[in-house]
Amino acid sequence: MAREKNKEKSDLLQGTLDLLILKTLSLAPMHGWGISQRIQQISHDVLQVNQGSLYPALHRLQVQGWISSEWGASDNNRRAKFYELTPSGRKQLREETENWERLSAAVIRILQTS
Amino acid sequence: MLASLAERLWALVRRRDFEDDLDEELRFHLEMETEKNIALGMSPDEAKLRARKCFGGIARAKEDVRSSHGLLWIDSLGQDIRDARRSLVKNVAGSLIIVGTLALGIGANTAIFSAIYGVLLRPLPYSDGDRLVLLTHNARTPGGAEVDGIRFSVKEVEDYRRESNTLASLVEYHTMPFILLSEKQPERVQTGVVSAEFFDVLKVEPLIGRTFLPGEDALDAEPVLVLSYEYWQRSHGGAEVVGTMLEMNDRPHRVVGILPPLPGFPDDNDVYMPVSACPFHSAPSFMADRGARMMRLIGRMEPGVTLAETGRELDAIATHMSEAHRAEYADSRDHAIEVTLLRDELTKSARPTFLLLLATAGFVLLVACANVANVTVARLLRRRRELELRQALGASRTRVARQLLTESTLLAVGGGVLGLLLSWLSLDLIIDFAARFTPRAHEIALDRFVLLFTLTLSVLTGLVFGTLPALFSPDTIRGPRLRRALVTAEVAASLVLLVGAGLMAKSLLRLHRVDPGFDSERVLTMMLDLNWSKYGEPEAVRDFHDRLLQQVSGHPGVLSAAVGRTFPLARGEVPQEARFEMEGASGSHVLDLHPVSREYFRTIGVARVDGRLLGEEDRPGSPNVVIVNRAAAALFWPNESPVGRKLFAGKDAATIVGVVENVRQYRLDAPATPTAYISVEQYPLRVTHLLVRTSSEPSRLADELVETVHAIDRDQAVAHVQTLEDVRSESLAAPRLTTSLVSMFATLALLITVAGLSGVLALSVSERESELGIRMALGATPSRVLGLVLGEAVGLIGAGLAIGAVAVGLLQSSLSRHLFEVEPTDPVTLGAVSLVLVAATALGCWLPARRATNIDPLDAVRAD
Repeated sequence: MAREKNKEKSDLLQGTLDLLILKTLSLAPMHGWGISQRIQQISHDVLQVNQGSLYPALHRLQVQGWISSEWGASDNNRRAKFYELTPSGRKQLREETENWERLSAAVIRILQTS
Repeated sequence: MLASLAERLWALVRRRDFEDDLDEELRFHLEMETEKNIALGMSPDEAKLRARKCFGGIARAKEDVRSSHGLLWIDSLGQDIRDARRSLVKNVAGSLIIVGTLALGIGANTAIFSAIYGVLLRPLPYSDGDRLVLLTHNARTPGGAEVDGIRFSVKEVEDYRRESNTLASLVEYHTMPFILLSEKQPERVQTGVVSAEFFDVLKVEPLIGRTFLPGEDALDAEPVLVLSYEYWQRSHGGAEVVGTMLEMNDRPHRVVGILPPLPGFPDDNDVYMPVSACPFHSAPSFMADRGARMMRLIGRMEPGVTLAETGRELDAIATHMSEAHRAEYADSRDHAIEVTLLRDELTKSARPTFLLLLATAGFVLLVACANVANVTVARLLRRRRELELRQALGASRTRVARQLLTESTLLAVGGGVLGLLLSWLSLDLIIDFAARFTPRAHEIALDRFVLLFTLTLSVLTGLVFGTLPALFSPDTIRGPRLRRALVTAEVAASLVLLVGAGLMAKSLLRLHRVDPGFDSERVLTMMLDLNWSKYGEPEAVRDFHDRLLQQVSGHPGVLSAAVGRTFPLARGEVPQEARFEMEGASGSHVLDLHPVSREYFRTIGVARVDGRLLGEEDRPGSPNVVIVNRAAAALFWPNESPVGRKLFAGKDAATIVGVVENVRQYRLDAPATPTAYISVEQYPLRVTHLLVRTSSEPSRLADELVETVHAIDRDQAVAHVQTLEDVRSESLAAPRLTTSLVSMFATLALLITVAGLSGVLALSVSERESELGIRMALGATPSRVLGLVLGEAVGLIGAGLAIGAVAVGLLQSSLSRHLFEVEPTDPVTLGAVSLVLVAATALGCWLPARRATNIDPLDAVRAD
């Protein structure tokens, strides 16, 4: 089921969004909008997060137990749902980071040989 | 994992909260985005629009969030059901056919099961009913002939009560009709005469008032009555009657209680009285006579005692008794007591029929299942593209199988609900039907056990025909073998059912055509039970009958009139037997005894075979005469005329003056028993039936004849006014109903099979369309194409017939017990049934075969 649902075009590679969310949350707990802004900001506007797919990803990560959520007050004092990395999420981030590095190194090697 | 499962379940339960949460979260996001846009210099409206655009489809996002929570399989089950419903609705006709087919199959099974549960499986309505037993005394004559079903005398009951340790209690029962006088007309009430503890032993609690108290069956006790629920409703409309007095046998009886609704066992009694209130039972001569055996005995076994132990102990007591009183048991030996569970006794005549019907209904369901499985396969093939697309899009095989299973279960449950409705509509018919076999019929209901049965059956059915296609690989489903096997099975099952129905129909026909030895046309009967107190003397009885017959015979439209103790095929009539010694034959023998008046034989059309019939000269005081039937003559005087021979019963003697044709007295399917007819004038009877042969439709005379009776005695009750033709027809009602049910089931199976066969052939024709088209293009004639299609059909039908024939062979012995004068291998029936099956299936082949010959070769070739 999950596979069918992720077909829509994404500016990010499949699975990359999860990694970025985890990475972003490893710095500080944050609400959904904040995460999208942060990713955009850090990537110098290169990565455009499809906001429609951000929330399913957040909820999926939560179901998997890698992040948890809590209602809190935002900077401008409004009620917002804050997400936070769990210990198992931290471990997942480490693994996915290694995977990503291995993968990107391989891709770069291939690109350079041609 | 557990936590996340809990969370999902929680999310399901708190669905609304979950949605609110999500809404708020997304709203917050959009507001933040809008504010950001405003900060960038946009107008508020533009900022809002821009934020929305940037977000993408909100509904889609929400849907994705929900599915990422995977409100798990419960949610996807909902999805499955929605999908299934959509696909079922898309093919309404096909779905309706499946639901209808299953409804018939499940409905038939539910109806039969409700009867079987209510009658055979449900515990007796008496608490602790499984320790209740019925006692029967069996013995042999000195000559070795078996005498079964002997009843018990007062002296014997005392002995069993005293000596038995296995029975916690032992109570007497017999039934008699008495006349009850109330403000209304005199009324004949069937009265159960019982020991005071009778209801305590059955553990029946009264609905109102009380049952009998210990000691109320003592000779000096006040006569009391307990009314049955049905009689109370019928005669008193459920009014307050406890405490009132009812006049019976010239004595007032106090009504002390009302029974709850109970099975009419041992008989459908209107009222119950303690043995002391019965004028016959309480007569000193009766109580002292060890040979006056009138009562049946019901016992409650001690806890932990088995049926066999009880039987052994009672056998020993019986043997000991016969040795202690040699003179009273001189004409019998090998005494044994048969102990039967009350439950088995209550249902013994219903069991074989009900099981037959259950088997029949089961076959119908199997045929329905096979057919529905085939329809499912065909639908599957039509939907191959859709399913392949689903799989290509990533749906796993199990996911597809699950969806198919959901569809089939939905269909089956739909069929179950409709089937339940069908069985609910037919419940009254089923109860009426069952009432012909067992007093427990009124316990039949669609209760929760039956509902559970139907639900289980529906779900199982759905699983069976749903997994069948899912179990096999796509290749098997696509291939013709599975379909063919299913249709072959349907043909085989149909053959079995049709053979059963055919044999039973032929057997019923034989029963209708059987010569009963009497002529039932235009004969009216009614029961006259002369009040015991008014007609105590034989002369009074004789006088009443004389006047009655004289006046009735003189009535215009009456050809002849007679009275007799009973008449042929009377329902619920207990045989009256007498033991005779016969001149010219050795030993003593039991003959059926029928006191009748002079015109009896002419009135019901029994032919004279030898000697003379009863005449004017056979009056009280003249020599006693007897007429025997042909069966008795053939049995005791095989090579000579019995006319002139004498019969002896104790000190009494009678001379045989004539022989009459055999009459099927109790059942049309049982040969006549050796019978002796004696004159009511010489042996006056209080309880008789008036029999009148009329020149026109007999029921038109009924009212006038009842008036004639009342003109002679205003207080005389008349009961059971009916025509002999109705009685005869009624006696065949049970086999007729059974046969109709089996035939109905068989027809149903045949229709389903024909439809199934037609469908399979049509599918195969459409699959071979291009092949057949090419053949035709290459010069094959239509008849050659027809041959190709029909060849397939003949193979299927032939295989089905062969398998069905084997099954019929295996079922022979269980069939034969339901048949009358028809062998289970009756070649005519088997041939006719096969012909019907072949003709019906040929009809099913016609449509697809015609389509095959109409294929346009060009179209067929272009199609690919």
